[in-house]
Amino acid sequence: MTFRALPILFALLSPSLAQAACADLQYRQFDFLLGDWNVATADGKLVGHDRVEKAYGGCVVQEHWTSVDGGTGGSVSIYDASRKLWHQTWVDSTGTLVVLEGGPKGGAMLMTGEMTDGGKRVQDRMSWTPQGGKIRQLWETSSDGGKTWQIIFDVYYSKG
Amino acid sequence: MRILPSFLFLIVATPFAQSQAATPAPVPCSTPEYRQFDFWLGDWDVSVAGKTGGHNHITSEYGGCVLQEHWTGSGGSVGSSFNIYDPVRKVWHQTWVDNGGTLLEIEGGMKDGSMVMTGEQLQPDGKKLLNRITWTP
Repeated sequence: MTFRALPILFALLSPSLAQAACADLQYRQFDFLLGDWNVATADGKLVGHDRVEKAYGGCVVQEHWTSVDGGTGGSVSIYDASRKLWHQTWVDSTGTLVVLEGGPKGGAMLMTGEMTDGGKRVQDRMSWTPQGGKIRQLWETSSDGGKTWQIIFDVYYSKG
Repeated sequence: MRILPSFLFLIVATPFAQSQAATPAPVPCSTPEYRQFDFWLGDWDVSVAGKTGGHNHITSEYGGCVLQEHWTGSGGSVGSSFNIYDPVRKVWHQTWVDNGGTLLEIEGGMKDGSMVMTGEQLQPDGKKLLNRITWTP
């Protein structure tokens, strides 16, 4: 647990660096997802509610998901300045762990990664695309190494 | 008069429903592995070489599937981690983020009574840093 002291020591020794944490423009690239959202399918069926906030000194986009069927989940998204990419870790009440990485592309946020689903590893491709006042989230998975993709979640975020 | 037969039916049906529920309904995160890190749950004062380093609050979240860490350092650092067991790869995963912009992903499991996780991190200078974190009750 002494590891947790390292950031403190680091901050004390390098105050200028500590002040600059997460101040770069890249950290704002996912801010379009911030807010309280109703999440529904294309035909208007409500599937859940998502609250997305900036946390930890503005470094992290934190998601709090509640499904209409009672499921809950959460994610943290952060820009990794060392590797110049966005990272998201998602966990939920069904035991899902999804680790995604990517970045903004053409106004959308695109991330890819892997997860454990139904007892096997599958690839994930996730996009968040602002469309008017809404955001479309498209989640696809592939179990054949990316040859074919199946849509498992295609929803629209609108402000509650 | 229709109420009485329904009521009787419920009484008869209830024990049967219970025995059905006891058969393997797949409850997420119910295997013993998910409880391996529960020794970390709670409110903790964290000291470094005898001096106060901060406070850590570890909670069980998302139906008991996840341990979430809420760190507040006495020097002003705040951070959090998700900890979850992956039953397919049979590893524990932690993702840590904080207000210094740190992202750390480590994986591992129980070893001789301790939780041990390791992971690489790219430093701002481009060098890779291997982290190993051990929690020992």
